[in-house]
Amino acid sequence: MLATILHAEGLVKRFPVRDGYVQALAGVDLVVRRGEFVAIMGSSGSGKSTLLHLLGGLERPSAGRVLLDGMDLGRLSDRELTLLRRRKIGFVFQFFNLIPTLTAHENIILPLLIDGKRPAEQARMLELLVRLLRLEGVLDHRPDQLSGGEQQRVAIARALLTQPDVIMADEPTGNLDHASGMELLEHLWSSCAHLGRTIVMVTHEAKAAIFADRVVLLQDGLVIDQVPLGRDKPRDNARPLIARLQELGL
Amino acid sequence: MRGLSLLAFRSLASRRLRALLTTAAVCLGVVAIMGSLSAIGAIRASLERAAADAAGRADLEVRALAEQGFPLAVVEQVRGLEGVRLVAPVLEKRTFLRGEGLQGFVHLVGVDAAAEAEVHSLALRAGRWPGPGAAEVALLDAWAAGHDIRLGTTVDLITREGFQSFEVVGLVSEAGLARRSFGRVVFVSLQTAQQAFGLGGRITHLALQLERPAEREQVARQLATLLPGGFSALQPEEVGRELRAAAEQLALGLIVFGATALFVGAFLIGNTIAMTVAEQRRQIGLLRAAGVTRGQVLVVVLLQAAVVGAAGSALGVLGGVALAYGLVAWLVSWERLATVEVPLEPQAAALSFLVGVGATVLSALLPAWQATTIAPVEALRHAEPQPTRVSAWSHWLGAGGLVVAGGAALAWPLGEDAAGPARILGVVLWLSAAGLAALGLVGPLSRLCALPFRWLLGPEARLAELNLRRAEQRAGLTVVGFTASLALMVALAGLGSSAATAGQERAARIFPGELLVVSPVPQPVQLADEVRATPGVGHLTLLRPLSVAWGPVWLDAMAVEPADYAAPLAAMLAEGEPAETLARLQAGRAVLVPLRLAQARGLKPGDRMPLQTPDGPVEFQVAGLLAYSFPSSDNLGAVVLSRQDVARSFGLDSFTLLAVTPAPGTSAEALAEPLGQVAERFGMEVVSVGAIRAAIGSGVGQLLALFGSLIAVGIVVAGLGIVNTMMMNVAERQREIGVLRALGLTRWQVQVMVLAEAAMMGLIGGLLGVVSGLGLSRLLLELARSPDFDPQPVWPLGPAALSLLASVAVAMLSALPPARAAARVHVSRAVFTE
Ligand SMILES: Nc1ncnc2c1ncn2[C@@H]1O[C@H](COP(=O)(O)OP(=O)(O)OP(=O)(O)O)[C@@H](O)[C@H]1O
Ligand SMILES: [Mg+2]
Repeated sequence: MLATILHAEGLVKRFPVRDGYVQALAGVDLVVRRGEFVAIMGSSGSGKSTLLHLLGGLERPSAGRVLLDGMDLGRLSDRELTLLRRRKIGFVFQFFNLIPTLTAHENIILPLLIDGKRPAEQARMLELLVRLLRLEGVLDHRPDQLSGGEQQRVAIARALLTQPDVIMADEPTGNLDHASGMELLEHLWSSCAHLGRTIVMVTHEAKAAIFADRVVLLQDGLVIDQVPLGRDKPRDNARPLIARLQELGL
Repeated sequence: MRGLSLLAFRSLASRRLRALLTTAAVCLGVVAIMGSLSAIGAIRASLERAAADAAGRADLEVRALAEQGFPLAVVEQVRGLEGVRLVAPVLEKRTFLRGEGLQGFVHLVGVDAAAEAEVHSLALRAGRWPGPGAAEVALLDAWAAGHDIRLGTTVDLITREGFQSFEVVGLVSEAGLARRSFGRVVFVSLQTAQQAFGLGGRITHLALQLERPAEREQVARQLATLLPGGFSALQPEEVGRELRAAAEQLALGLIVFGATALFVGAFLIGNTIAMTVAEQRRQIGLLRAAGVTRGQVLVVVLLQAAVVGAAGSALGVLGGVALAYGLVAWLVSWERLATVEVPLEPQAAALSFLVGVGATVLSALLPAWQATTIAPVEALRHAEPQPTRVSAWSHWLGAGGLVVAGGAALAWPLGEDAAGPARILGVVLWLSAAGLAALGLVGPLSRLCALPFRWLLGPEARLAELNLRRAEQRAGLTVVGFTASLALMVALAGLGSSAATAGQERAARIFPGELLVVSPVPQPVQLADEVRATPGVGHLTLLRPLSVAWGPVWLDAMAVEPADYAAPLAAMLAEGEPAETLARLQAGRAVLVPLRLAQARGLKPGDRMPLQTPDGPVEFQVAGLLAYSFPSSDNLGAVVLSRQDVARSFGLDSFTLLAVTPAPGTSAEALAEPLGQVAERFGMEVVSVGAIRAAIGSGVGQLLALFGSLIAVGIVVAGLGIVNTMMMNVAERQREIGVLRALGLTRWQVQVMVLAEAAMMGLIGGLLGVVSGLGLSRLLLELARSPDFDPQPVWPLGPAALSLLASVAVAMLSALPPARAAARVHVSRAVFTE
């Protein structure tokens, strides 16, 4: 049994709106183990992104708590939470990942720079990631000179460079064509399988979710099911998931 | 048309902060202009009244030429003359006053209360006139109030018997400059003045009112036969002339420096409108697609500017009046002006308003024209609004502009009488060039200016630097504000310290030795020997200020001992062989004339100058011209005569000043004490030349503070520009900031990033401002250089460094609200929404 890295207990998130509030999460319990690749699926508005934000320390829950490696995120100050994101969590977003004024290389090493570290400390890791993600030719390019796929690969390299405990990805393939999307998922999968990273990925596509070890299904802010897919040969695991999705009408 | 104005208003209302900042900028610009204009109005009005006051309601002023004045009996005789309605006798002297917390020379006026009130439009505001022969004085009320003196307070005056106490029994409402003494006038009764100041029954001054003013000539002729000691009759119109000339310099300075803030504001306005246009590309494209013409687009944009301009200018006019009160109160507290009354001039208000609105609309013209070039297809584009990049050639344009305009300004055909407008044009040209340079050089300079920040800070500085470079036009327009105001500030400091240093050097040369013995009344020459006998005194020279009448003009003069005073005179000479000139002065009937006076009165060496003496007119000859001279009340400099001439022709064989050089081996400080004891015995006082130099320094310092405060308004407007630009930047970069926060940039680091970007803008603007300001100060100095104003240039490095720091500090301070806004960016919302 692998150790628990991320533990959510009774997570509730309400957003105040003009007349009352919207309840995005209604009490979510979730356990993610070290080295696991978890996909979160659900219909639009089911609370996927909100859950990811809470797990990643970008927002604070209205009730319940999130434990990262045994640490209660709710007890951390804004500054501590920021430092935790800096060192223990990597993010890959759907649309806007890169700082437009920085080159691809600078974007990748940005977390180190922010932390006041010298890039040389992670030179070997950087070299490995650049090779793995095939970014050799574009390191000097600015984001507006990169294709969508290249941009997302740069974002993954950035998320992996500091060897964080967990990588949070929200629809990382949402903006890519099919081929680029598949390639990106391969990279995520191999970083999990070969580099031992833990990944939590939000997606609404079954063909993306099948790269995961386990799929968490959300509806109206609640976890309604979890489908284990196993670690090997990701593309063969589609059938049970698709069956379950059809059952739920997703 | 109604639809168009609706669009304009909507656009303004949707960007409230921006509209507010622009209005504030226009407002401050107009405040400075209206403030300057109103202050100038107050100065002019004050001078007009001073001129009227100096002449009073007299038809004829008669001044005694002999030091003893007229005998008292003359008053009755003059009263008896045909056609004379009223005679107001006056006894005037400079004396020394000592009160609580103040001391200095004052103008003592002995008056016949009843007659003086009629002739000089003096009105008692409180208390009563000093009683005949009593130890009582009346003071000008504004001056008294300024020095916290009330009825019943006592002040000490140096009299023949040393200090005596006088009670303040009356406060007189003053008018204007109060006889050029800036309010320092002490009224006593005629009798008290005569008894206490030892002039017996002798009158220095008579003011006459005639039955028929047209008969002035006849009455003057009768007076000539009546008055034995000789006299000079003064035409009232003559008096105000020199006073007005002195005020023009001040007015010019106020206008130039008052315009700074609006100049800076114009860039802010242009920048804001450009931002709005950039944001509204799609909307404008949509309008164009829907059939709105280019002209209408232009109108909509300009209408927005006009509304903001009108609102800001209207507020500015009101604020300007308040500022004028502040400036005038300042001038009063420095005793450069006697009254705090600011005339409310509709023309000034209208002019300020129009200039404000005009500047706003003018600076909106370029972005408005850019808006008209937006094609209808822009409506279909999905792209984010791209801030305009500055192309490479504009760097060259910037550098070229600096060189060309600098060269043009230097080569500008300005003679010695460089007129005010030409000088203003030079300044504007120079500033425009500096502005162009700022616009073009922001990119290259940002690399340089980022270095210290990158060294001090971490990756925040690197991000800030890159952010700065991505919107060069915007940054450039923001930076220009600092460049322009700092350039003026540094130029002003440079000019000021050059002038102060030159003035101080002159003071040191004019008063050889390091100590001056000053007497409130003329002293017999023999007394100088007593002072000379004081141990430690090395060398000593006698000086005797007097007034001489040249036709209807009174000139301040200084009698010197040519043999003793040869070295300073040689240094003062504007041209010619010193030995020859000195010989001519020694030969007698010769006068040395300051250049400025010679120019104003058309005098050349060799010219004849008939001066009135107690024995009638005597021909003097202009023996030479002086580059500078002793100070005079008309600011043109005192003429210099030999002591022997003054004794022979004017019957004045006395001194009021002794310039003392310590003997070798004695320091001035060591000598001051024994010298002071000797001086005190004769009712005199010891003043160090250092104190005079300090007074010159503080006088220049006061002017610098006055003009500097106007320029400071420009720096504040430049700060508003930073608020505006950084707010816009932060709003545009929400998502980036969100990503950075998600990646672990703390709120503090986000603020540091924003502050660093602003600080870099402040530094770039400041550097360019300091460099062009140093150049401008040299340029202005060269333009103003003339034989009688020939200072060594002083590089104001201290003020320049201070200005640079201030520029960075103001920029950072202004970036605080945008930095806060950036720190508040909601991470998840900024990042995860499309
Ligand atoms: N900041 C917010 N303020 C108010 N309501 C919000 C906010 N963020 C999310 N919501 C609401 O919470 C619910 C869940 O939103 P969330 O973004 O988590 O859904 P999602 O599953 O990610 O949907 P999608 O697949 O469309 O991204 C939605 O009803 C949404 O409108
Ligand atoms: Mg979502």
